[in-house]
Amino acid sequence: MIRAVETDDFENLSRAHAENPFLVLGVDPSATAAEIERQGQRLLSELAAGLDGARRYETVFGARARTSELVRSAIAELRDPARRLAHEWWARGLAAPSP
Amino acid sequence: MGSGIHVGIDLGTSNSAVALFDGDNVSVVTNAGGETLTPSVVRVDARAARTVGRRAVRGLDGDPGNTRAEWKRLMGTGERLPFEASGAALLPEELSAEVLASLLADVRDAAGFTPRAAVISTPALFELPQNHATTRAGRLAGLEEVVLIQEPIASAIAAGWRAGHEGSWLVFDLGGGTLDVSLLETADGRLRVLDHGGDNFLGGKDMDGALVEWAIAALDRRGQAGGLADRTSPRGRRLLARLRMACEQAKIELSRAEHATIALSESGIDGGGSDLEIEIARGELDALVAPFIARSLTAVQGLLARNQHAPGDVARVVLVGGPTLMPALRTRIGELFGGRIAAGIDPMTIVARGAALYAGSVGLDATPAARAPAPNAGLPVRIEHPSVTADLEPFVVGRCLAGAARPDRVRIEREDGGWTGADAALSPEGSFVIQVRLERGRRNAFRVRAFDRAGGEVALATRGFAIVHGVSIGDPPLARPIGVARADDSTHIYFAKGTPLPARRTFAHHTVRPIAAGSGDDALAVPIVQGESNRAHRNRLIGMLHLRGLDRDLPAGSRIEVTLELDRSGQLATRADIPGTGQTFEDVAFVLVPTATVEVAERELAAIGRRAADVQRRTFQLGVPAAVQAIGDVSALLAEADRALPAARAGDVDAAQKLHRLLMDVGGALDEAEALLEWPDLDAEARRCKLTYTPLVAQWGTPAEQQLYEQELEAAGVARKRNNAAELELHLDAMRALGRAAYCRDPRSMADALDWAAAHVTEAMDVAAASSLLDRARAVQAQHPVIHEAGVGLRALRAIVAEIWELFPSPPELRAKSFDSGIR
Amino acid sequence: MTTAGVAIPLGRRGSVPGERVRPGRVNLRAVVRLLVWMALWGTVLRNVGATVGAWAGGSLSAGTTILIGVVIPAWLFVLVPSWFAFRVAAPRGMRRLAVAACWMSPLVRLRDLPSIAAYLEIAADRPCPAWGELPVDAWTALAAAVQADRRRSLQQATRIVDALAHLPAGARFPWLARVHAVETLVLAAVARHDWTTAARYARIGRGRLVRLLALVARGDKGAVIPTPPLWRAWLLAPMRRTTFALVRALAWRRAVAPVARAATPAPVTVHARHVALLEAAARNQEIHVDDVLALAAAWQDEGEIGDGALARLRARALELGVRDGEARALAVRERVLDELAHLLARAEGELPRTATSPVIETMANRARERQIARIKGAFAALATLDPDRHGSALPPLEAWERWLALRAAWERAEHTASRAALATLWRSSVRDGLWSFCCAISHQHGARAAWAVFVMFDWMADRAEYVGDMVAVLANRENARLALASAR
Repeated sequence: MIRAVETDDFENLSRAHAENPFLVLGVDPSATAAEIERQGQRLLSELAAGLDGARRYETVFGARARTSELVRSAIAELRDPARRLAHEWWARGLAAPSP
Repeated sequence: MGSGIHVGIDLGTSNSAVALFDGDNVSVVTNAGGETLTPSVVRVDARAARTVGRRAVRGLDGDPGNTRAEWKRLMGTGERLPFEASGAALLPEELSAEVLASLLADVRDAAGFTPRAAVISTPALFELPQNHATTRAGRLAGLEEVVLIQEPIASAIAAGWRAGHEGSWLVFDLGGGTLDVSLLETADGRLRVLDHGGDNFLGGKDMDGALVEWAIAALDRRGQAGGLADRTSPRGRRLLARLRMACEQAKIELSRAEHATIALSESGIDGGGSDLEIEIARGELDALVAPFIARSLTAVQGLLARNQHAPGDVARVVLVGGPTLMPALRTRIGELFGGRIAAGIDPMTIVARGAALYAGSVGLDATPAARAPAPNAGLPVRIEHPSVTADLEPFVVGRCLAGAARPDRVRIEREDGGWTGADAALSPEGSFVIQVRLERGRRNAFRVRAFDRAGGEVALATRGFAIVHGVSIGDPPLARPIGVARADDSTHIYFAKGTPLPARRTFAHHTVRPIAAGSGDDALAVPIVQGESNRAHRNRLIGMLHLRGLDRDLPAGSRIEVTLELDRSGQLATRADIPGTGQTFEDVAFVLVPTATVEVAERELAAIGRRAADVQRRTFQLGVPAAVQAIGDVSALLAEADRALPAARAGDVDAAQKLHRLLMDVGGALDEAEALLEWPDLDAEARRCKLTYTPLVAQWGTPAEQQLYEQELEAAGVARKRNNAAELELHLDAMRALGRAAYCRDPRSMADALDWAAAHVTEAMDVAAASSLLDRARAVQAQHPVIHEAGVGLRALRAIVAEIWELFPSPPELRAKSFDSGIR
Repeated sequence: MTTAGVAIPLGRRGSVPGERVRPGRVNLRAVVRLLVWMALWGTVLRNVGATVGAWAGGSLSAGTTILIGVVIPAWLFVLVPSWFAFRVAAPRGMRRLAVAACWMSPLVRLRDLPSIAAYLEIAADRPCPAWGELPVDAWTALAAAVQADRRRSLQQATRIVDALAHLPAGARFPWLARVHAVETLVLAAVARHDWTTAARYARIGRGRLVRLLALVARGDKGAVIPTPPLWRAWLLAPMRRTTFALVRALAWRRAVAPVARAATPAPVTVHARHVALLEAAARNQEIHVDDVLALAAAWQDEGEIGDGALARLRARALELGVRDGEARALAVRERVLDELAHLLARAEGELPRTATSPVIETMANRARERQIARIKGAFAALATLDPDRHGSALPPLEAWERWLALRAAWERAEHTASRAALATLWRSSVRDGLWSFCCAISHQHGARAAWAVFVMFDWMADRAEYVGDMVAVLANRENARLALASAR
């Protein structure tokens, strides 16, 4: 189909992958909804309290910054089963290997 | 968190209410007149004294020039409503502020303090400018903190809190001015909004309007409609206002009784008159409002279909708003959903209750700071925890703030003694994370105790906190996607529909134009739009971030990072960073709803009508079913737009807004249809080209051209088979070029072209030049009456025709109608 | 919108007029310069000679005398002014002095001085007020590249560098520009530890420092550089203090853990490889068609997007309670394919003629489509800014940069799209449009844009050759020759 000119959006594409909700929350792709909520709440509390350990999360490409908006958005994304499906699939491949 | 008193306000089109939640119970506050509902009516008299509520309602009849009601639809526009006697002209949010102030005063009378913070409800379909206006109204009324919540969520919270239902719920909120239908899901103890739908221009007011028209017609038939013949005269206006109120009362009465009387008293109005009475039966009312009910049910079914739900999948329907008390409506909804309507909750105050509950869940304490308990002496410690959660074992995080004696261990105990946690050691940065256990379904109070190494207790400044176990409510989701318009008229979505707020996202873009240093207004703009369409210009412009006053030149193609940040009340902050220069541009992006001028709307209506006709013709010609479906509603929408046009011309702002919105919707539907027609259109075009140009090239083309044409034809065939639109277009372009070249060699073609130009000379951009060129052409023709193929005459003619073509307007290119966006 | 047929654009009369430069003024300046040189160096030479003669007292041989008396002064005459300008004055911010020193240098042509002045301003990160009036030549192009690099618009910077790497014979690329301007670029990239970009920039540079930095860049990317040549290069290069840390780090790192350096975890799963490639593209690194095809093959082989995987996705969708599981599963696969096509459109290298699998075929088709669309977009940007039609002049630099976008898009497409498709595009719009664009630029700006117009016409001639449009080849070579003449 004839479409408008595409732009070189690689930066935004790779950012979308690095901000995968499972990575942001640090939970396993097979986690249950309750576990996700719990972990999310915990991270929000930790960020609000200013704990350093909560400020970064690991990906295969190194550590990235974690903000409360990111956590909130991650929790909401995983609540929608349709979106969770896609995120799960990617997260299985992108989770950082355990040291 | 969890303690204190929380205030929730339902700011409705016709009526408003306020409720309190103290952690255990919700109660609706009654006003000075002893009613739970305060009419959203404001009256300003000659001394600029303002009256709100029931007392002002009388002014609707007696003093319509100074009394205003039902301005909710105008929130967010810059439209000022005039008050004759005092000469004041107030914005809709100022009127809302009056109503809010009155409600807050009622709370003070009931609870003994003026709230400093409250949750105010807004319709789900309200866009950012309207939400912002609501927040401002709250601030004007004296609130320090305002949080907005969408009405359907509030209703569902109020209905869900009582019961323990799971499954999908539908909230049907038919108020005075708007219909909000929302699909929600309660699962695993969480409340989630799946989708919103509705109609910004459908409400009880419209039904009243229909009844008023019916009443006037009835009076007309009886010959008693004299006073109402001229509705714009002062007498006519007052009569109309009275009639409207009478109709509303009759409508309400018909919910209970089978018959009612519309009593219009003309006494007290200049010109005098008698009392008029019209009888109306419930059946007649049902017939009048049937189209509105049908429209509302269409909205419901549309919402369900969009989310692959059938009516049978909905576990419970929550009805909100006065008009839902109408038996006809209840019956129809009951039919659709098998009678599963949530009962026992007053539909008029359900939103206020829900708002108060939500205030509790986010810990928005309305009590002024002075009432907060004095902080205990002790070690300062910060404790973070959810105020409301469905999780029975949530985490609590704490941190001893920097200072002297840090304790060694911390212990958390539940105050009812049902659970005590193990001692937790503090981390090197003084923090601790403890998992607590809650008792199901109630407010759990906890105590925090700290111990030093020796085991002695250390006093803490914060000794306790509370967590409520219940349905945890998700953050209010965004109703419509928000994004940034790009120069190629596409939208880059930042916040998708349903994004929880607050939210913040950053994306990288590149500029398409250079900006000179220090340039002013004509610098680059980043338009921010809200809406579902992929085409930027079909969405609503809600903000514009200007890059101006740069330190130095910014060449085209430079990278800029744009950040959008949206808070809970829907206020949008935008920022653009230019890396390498360290310059940042910020704006609280907020643009008033563009007040559509009627002339513009009229022109667009005409243009869209033509476009719609064209699309419809093509759709039926090509027979593409999906496209037929897409434009199914277009005719109906256009008809409605036509109906709204006279009212808009007469100055009805509401109608103008409605017209604008309808035009956007029709445009979107046409866009969709055109996208679906692209390939079949191209296919048909390919066949047409082949038929038209092949004989031309065969007859008049040079051998080289003919060979090229053959190649192009073959390549076009291949592209068609591969369904590759871009390549096919290319080859068609080449075929057209070759065909036209051949056509031009035909001597008769020049004569045809000149005839056409002569007939359309008035459309040329420079009519004088075109006429002189035509004269020259005629002279050449006169000189060489018989034009030969390779003759001088033909060449000269061709040159002249080429110049003439230049003078006619070229087809519209992709103008940057994307609000003139400067980024891609 | 003409119907005058497929008109073959030959050079219009006066198409490339060039500015009729008044002979008097230029020659006057050149003459003055010559006189100053003669005066100054004559004096210097005389004094040097006299001093040496006095000092040696006639004890030197003829050869040494000539060496000291003629060769060394000549060498000083040629090299010192520019050395002073770029190594002494400019780094200390004395830009006017630097420009004056360039005026004194025989390596610098008089007409380059404004461009050099502009370059020095940009390199020092100062605003350059007269950007619009500047001519397009190697100096200003590199200045624009420095600016783009600083703003992290790496795509822009690499496009400029790429064009400079493929200049036609006859287009001037002064030695000093190659050495000093490219140095600035490379240093900027090295400061960011962006070795790949630094290596790309270094390709067009000359001089010892650029050579050293190129070595360092290669070494940091993993190539094995023997230590002695590295230190030798460092010794010979200028700015030793700045580069010492880098070179030492490189040498020491290899000395300590030559193998451990390569142990940065290579992405294991195909998902990780996919995102790694996206990141590389985002960082403007070169990605090769083979890499993308290998990734596509990996997706296929590991069965992650095949029918089995889809079935698993659908099953999981049922578990999660997704309503339109089929569509969602397909969407997951679509996203992968779409991103692969994106990568392929961006990759360098030739696409294989025959696709080895349906996945690759879909990807290739989409990539081709995307590239054609990109060409059209770049071309549209040119056409709508045709100065003739709209009356307002485009500054020469900006016109050139827009052409660069078209060039980049076209050349990439040459690797992937079919020749027939490109030929059609060429004939239907690009040829005529680009030709009139170049003519308009040359009308508007004359000598200032002559260099750029020459490069553009020459490029057009090459493209015409590629698509087999012989008439256009001849026409454009002629136009290029005219442009070159006026650039002189």
